Amino acid sequence: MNKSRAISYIRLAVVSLMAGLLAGTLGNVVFSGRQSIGNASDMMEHFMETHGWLLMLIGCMVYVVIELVFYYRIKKFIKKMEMVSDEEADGLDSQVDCLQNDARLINGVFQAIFFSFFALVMPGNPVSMTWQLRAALICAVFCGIFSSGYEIWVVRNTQKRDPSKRGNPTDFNFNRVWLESCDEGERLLIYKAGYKTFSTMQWVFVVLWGLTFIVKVYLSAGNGPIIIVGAVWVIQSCVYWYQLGKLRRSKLE
Amino acid sequence: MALINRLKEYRARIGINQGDLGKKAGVSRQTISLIERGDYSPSVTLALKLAKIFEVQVEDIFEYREGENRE
Repeated sequence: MNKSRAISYIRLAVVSLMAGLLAGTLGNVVFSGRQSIGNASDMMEHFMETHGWLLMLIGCMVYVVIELVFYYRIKKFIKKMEMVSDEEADGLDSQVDCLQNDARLINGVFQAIFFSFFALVMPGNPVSMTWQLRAALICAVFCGIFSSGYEIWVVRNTQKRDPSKRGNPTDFNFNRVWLESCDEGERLLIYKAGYKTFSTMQWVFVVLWGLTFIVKVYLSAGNGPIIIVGAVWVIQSCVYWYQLGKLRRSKLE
Repeated sequence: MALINRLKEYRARIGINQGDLGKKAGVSRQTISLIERGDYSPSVTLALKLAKIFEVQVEDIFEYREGENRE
C-alpha cells in the first residue's frame, strides 16, 4: 500500500470516528434535553398553527420585494445595453446572466420555504379548515403563481436576448428542449452544476440520515423521517447510476 | 491542461463583440466569454469554426503549452 493511499484510509477512519463521536454527543444532548425539546416542539407546533400564516405573509412580501428589485435591475441593465459600446454590452449581458441566476436561486429557496411552511401551518388530524390555514393557503398559492410567473419571465427574457434558446417553460418537456438548444459551453456548466449537486447531496443524505436516526431514537419521532430520507437517497442513487449507464451505452455528443 | 488563446485579440482585430462572434460560430456569448477567460477549452469543431471565421489556422488562435496548468 503506498503512502498516499494509507493516508487517505487513515483520514477516512478519523473522519468517521469523529462523525460517530459528534453524533453520539448530539444524541446525548438531545436525550438529556428531550423534555425541553418536546415542549419547544409542542409550542412551535401551536405557534405555527396560529401564527404561521403571519410569518408566511411577511415572507411573501419580503420575497416579492426582493424579486421585484431583481426584475427592475435586470430591466435597467438590458435597457443600458442598447446605449453602450459593444464591449460594454458584453459585460452588461454577463451581469444580466448573473442577476437572473441569483433571482432564480432566491425563487427556488422561497418556493421550498413556502411549501414547508404551509405543511407546518396545517393542523394535525383531523384537518379543520381554520381561517389561519386559509390565509396560509392563499399565501402559498400566491407565491406558487408568482414564482412560476417569474421563472417564465426569466426564460422568455433569456430567449429574447438569445433567440437560439428554445422551449416553452409551461411544457413538460421544457428541460429537454432547453438543454438541446444550449451550446457546448452552456451544457458543460449545466452538467458540472448537476454533478456538484449530486456529490453534495450524497453528504447531505448521510447527515440527514444521522439526524433522523437521532430524532427517532431519542425523541421517539417514529420511522417516517427515516423512510422518507432513505427513499429519496435510493431514488437519487438509482437515477444517477442508471443515467450514467445509459449514457455510456449511447453516443456522446 | 494549458490552452492559451488569443481569441479576444482576433475578435478585436475584426471589430466584433462576443455576442456577434457567438452568432457567427453558432454558440452563445457566454461560451465565447468562457473561452476568452480561459475557463473553457472548446471542442475541436468549435475551434475549427472560430479559426474559419478569422481565416487563420487553429494554432494561430489556440496554443497548447506543456507543463502550464490552467484547468
